[in-house]
Amino acid sequence: MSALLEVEHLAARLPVEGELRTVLHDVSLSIAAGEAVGLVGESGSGKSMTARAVARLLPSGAQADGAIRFDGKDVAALKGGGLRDYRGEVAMVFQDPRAHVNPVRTIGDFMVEALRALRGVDRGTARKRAVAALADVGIPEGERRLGQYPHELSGGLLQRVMIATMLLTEPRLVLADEPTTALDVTTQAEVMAILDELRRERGMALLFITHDLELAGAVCDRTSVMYAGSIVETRESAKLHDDPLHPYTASLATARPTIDASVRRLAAIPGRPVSAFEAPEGCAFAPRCAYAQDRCRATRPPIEALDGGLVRCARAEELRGRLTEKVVNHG
Amino acid sequence: MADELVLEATGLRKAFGDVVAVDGVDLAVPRRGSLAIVGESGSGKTTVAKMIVGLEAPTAGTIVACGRDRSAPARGAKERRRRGGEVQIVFQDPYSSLDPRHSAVQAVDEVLRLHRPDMDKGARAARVAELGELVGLDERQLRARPRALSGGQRQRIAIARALAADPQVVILDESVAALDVSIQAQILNLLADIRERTDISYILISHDLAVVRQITDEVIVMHRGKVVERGGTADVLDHPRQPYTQLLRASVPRPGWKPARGPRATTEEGSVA
Repeated sequence: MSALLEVEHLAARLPVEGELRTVLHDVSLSIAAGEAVGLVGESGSGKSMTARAVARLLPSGAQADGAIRFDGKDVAALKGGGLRDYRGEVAMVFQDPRAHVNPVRTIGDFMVEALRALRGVDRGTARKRAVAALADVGIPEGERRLGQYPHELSGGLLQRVMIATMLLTEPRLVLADEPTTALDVTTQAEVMAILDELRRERGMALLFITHDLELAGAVCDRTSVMYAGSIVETRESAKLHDDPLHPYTASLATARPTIDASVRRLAAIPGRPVSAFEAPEGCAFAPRCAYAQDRCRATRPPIEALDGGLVRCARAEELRGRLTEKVVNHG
Repeated sequence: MADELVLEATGLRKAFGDVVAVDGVDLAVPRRGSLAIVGESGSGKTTVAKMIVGLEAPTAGTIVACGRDRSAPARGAKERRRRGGEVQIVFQDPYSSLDPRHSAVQAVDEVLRLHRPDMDKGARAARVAELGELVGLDERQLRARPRALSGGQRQRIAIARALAADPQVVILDESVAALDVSIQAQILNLLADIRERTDISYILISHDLAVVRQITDEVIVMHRGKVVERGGTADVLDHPRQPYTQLLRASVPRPGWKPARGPRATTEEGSVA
């Protein structure tokens, strides 16, 4: 399978209070057609910025380096009609649907706008397709919904409208940025099921951004874990939880309480997550890592292949298989 | 449990016009106990919390805290202050629940001045330092404005501020929901430590069943204003009896979990939110 999306050594800097601050550093990932890739991290890890860079939606004044290729085309070089086509092929779903819809326009206006602008479809046909797309995401009576305003719909329903809207242009890649974080758990399960089903039926590729390791593991084939603007581990999702390669991934998994048992103390990670521009020399995670040595603090490790995954840790090989063990003793 | 109850609510009901948000809720919290109120948006769990702290007046029912009735709104500042000394609340969002112009020292000292008239300036300063240490804030963080602090550090201030009133009950209204995973674990450990070291009781309002499992002993599950299931936390989560609790339990992502479109996908959510 050749990659649909290829990101190579992506770096990005944003202007903050007059100076450029690094938000991404050496991010590489690839997604094949129909594949679901998870991007997991805490606040400031750069997961949303990665998606925004791919969508060509970085804030103004941002500087990006590295290569982003979609279907072999250089995304940075797209403009005019080429960029417009790209926006039809790569769709984005955000965390808070209410912040991304015009509150004074109806659902119908919102849904058909992209179809008419990007695909030149006439209004009647566009509305028919919108009703069909609503049915696909489990919303009956589409015709009535098209006449409603965003405030008349619940968060879960509105998020499904966003997904239906994005489907209209038949994108080949969906960038979903915490699409279920603001939803109730039962609604989250439904929205995830819909995304998963659509992906399988239509062969859409999915970049799924979340802070929830378990959720990424459940819906993605592969998952990358980000910390301080870099990817620290990429691995088959099924192995991420029980057989992690990076100490950060291991501690993320054990810091979360589980529904099956309470523990006397959670294995909390000391300190707080840092952004790329605050990261120290050497390994960005070293100040919080139980395994850090002098060499970890001296040089930033490159990302390297190990056991079918990729990991950015100088001690990854010698720690192989010991990460979960130690954490168990902790708990 | 035959322990002394620090909080008891009976037949609690709240109607907003025609909408009944809370419908006949009973709950009891023993001293040093920890009770979870679980439910999704619109279940009425936050309205219950607001009635307990006195931010909403119940339409019907009684609330007794520390042996004193608080079913009707407090009359006068003195009564309000006394109630504040019994039950405190920590909100979800530490970015909007603190005064941006007040450092942690000022925020905590303000509560001490109100609730501990017996303390002089020196005693208050000592208590601020003690609370700072209890919640894990250093000298520099205690003097900083909230703007300069992270979400986890701000939530520590909110907890210190709640504890400054020496309450018997602290209501944690989704207090760890907005925190990063690694910070959430620190705050959950902190809450467990505080419970171990003091006589405090918790009421945790949450939709996160893993958090509920970690820091509560008993749970009530609310759905559309009513309690649908109650019992020991471990028992209810391991063997949920009601279909709604079973659905909640099944919706939590875990290794091997496959999201499923529920039976209500096309029906219940069709109503206007």
